[in-house]
Amino acid sequence: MSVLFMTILFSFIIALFFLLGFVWSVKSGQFEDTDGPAVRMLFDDKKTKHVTNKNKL
Amino acid sequence: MSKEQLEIKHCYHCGEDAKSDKLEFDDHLFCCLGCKGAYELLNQNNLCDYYDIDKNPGNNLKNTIDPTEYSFLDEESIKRKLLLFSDGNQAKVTLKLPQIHCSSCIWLLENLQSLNEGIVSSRVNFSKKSIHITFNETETTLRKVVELLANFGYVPEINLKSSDDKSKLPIDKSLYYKLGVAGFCFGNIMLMSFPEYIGISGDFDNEFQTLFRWANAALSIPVLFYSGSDYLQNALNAVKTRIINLDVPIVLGMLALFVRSWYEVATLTGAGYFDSLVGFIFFLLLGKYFQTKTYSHLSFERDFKSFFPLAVLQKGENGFKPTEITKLNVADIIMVKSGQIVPCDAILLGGDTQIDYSFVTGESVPVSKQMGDLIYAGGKQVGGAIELLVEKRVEESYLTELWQKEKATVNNNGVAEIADKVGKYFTYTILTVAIFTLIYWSFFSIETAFLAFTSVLIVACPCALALSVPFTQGTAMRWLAKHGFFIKKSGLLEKIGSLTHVVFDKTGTLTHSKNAKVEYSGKPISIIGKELKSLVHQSSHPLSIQINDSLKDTELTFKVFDFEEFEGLGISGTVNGKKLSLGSEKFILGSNGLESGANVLLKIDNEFFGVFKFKLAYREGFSHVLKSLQESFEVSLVSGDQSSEFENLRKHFVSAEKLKFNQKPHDKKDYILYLKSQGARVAMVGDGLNDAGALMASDLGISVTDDVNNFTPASDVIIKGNVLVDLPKIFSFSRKTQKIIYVAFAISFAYNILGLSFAVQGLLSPIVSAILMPLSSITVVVFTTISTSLLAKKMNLV
Repeated sequence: MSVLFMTILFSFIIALFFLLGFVWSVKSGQFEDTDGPAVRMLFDDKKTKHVTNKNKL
Repeated sequence: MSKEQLEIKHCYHCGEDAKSDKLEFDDHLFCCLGCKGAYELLNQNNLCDYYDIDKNPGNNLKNTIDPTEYSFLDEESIKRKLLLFSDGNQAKVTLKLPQIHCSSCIWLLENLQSLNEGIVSSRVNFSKKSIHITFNETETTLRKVVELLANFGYVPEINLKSSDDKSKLPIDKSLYYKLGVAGFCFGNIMLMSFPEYIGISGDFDNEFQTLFRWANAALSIPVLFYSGSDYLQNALNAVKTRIINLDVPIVLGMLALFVRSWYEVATLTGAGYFDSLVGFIFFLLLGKYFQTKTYSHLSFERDFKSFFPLAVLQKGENGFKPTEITKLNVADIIMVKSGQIVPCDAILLGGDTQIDYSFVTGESVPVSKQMGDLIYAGGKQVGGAIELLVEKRVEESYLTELWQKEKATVNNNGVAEIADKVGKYFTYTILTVAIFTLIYWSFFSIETAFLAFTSVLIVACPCALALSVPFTQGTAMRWLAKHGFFIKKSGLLEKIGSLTHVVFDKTGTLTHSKNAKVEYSGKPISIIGKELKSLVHQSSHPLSIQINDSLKDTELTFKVFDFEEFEGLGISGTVNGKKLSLGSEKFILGSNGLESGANVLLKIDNEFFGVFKFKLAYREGFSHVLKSLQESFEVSLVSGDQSSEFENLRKHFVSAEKLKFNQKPHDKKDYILYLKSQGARVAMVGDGLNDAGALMASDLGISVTDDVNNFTPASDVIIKGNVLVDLPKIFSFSRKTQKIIYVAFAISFAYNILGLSFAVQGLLSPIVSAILMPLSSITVVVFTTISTSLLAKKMNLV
């Protein structure tokens, strides 16, 4: 049965990591702007000159 | 994509009507040079992705800024106030940009470093509509950064308030931490209580049972004393001040749970109720989080400071130099340019001008001022640059002084929230029942008496009761915000329910603040309409814009030659071979008119053609609002204007006494205070700074605005001008949400009584508690959110 001790201990430690992760996310300001990141992830990295419209015409 | 745009002819940059000037570049149409310039700049820097993310994302740039406008940002003392950090090398600043509205905005603003090498990084906070910029002071200056933003139409809000705000308090994040800790412990305790739930404790290894119980006991400590600390503190204060509120029975329940559970674990008699305790605190905090949803882009606390500029040009030995307005002294000479606010009471030294007092009074038509006239602070100058002699210091000016006085005299007597009223009776009832139980059982056994006593306190803990208010009000607030009715904090909904009297301001509240009704008399306008439209389209003067709007069915056809704008007088230009002049009586006829401000004359080829008169335009449906409000409230009107509109408005009110004209700002406030002293619960609906005192004095101050990003005086509620029509509906919705709260109370009482019937008999087992407490909470949460949403939908509050 002592293996149960270990699993409980581990599960507790893992949960503790999530708690710390949450605290970190609050501290780093992730809850200050909840609308921005949803949009930001859709931006492309490369910056292009605007030629797309010309091609379509 | 561009083909479609050519057909509807929208400006490629800002999306506005682009048919006037045939400004074409790169196969794209633009409405003005400003927008075209912005496009060219972006194209040169390979930033045209801006246009792909959202369609026509730009801000209109017709009224481009004067490059000298930001010269004050080079002043060391002003810079120091605005910068968050500066070491001579790197500097950081946070600016509020109310124009941020789409994903393209974020994209462009976060790529500023491609436009200005000196900018190290920029980060947008979309919810707050602000940008945080780090820049290199050796390569660029604050002024250049701000000018760059302004060039794209993102004009930062820099005002007297933004310099105070620098001592920005760190945002209170403790609720998140508390919620996190409670959630973490709740999950673990549930996990470790699982064996108890399914009753395997009997043949379960005793070692584990003890371990689990002690672990639960340990985990409950941070939840009660950290996550629940606000409740403990509030209850302690309530007991100290002897004003019993709902927190008292809540904390009684919590403590009873905690003590009883520890007792059981320590005496090895049971598992305790740690799951109930922790779950309960977790739910309470969730409710709190749900309720404290704030509208971070709105400000309910604005005073005159957020409306006055930070600096103004002051005449010194070597010409005009920017000075902070707080440093102005009497007899200083200042220069105010077109579009700027007059910061203090001052005398006009030169030139005629027009002052737009729409922020102060809501009046949309500018007032003419002549040399030697006293100009009150708060007016926006719409003529050319004028010089003024400071008559009073900023903080002594009529408007600011009024503001400070109001602030000092008004004390708001809060209405006790219903939950607290209920909480008071609740506490006494529970304590009575608990003590009787204690006495009864103590005849049999002290231990049973203790157990029954704590059981009563546990089961009577008004958790469901405590949740019904935040969840109902939180949901209601969200629906109302969607509709354009923003409430500062949720408790105010209860105040709406208890109102008896509604007082309206007239100008800017019942009337439009932006658009007056334009009345024309003279030779038929139709023969000259196209030419006139082309002319007024060139001007950004508010009256030109209003004439332009009144000609909205006319098409823009002609090009304007020799366009000239005479500040404070009028405009002229040659259109389709005719010379058109439009302006004040003085400008057109050469004579000094009596009230040239409100009339605009038109002259064609030196021949007088007609007159435009500007009249107040009432908001659509205002008579309906007044009519239906008068069915359930007393409604009156206080206006700072002359009584010329009396006849017009009289028919909408029950009696003539309800209409008060010629009311100075403090008269408005006194009227509200008078009504309150008569026992009325008063809502004030107003818009300008002249209503600020009345808004603060009232039980519920509602400020009306046509653009939520614009200035609104401090108030409890901000309502969009176009939903003012729905005010009766919003009021009745708020009243009905109160009924939902009462029903939720009834449900939670039912659960309490059920639980009590177990408890007084000493039969409350942990499993009953573990089921009953979350069940009652969830029932109430589900019931309140769903029924509030259904009510909102039924009442068409979408």
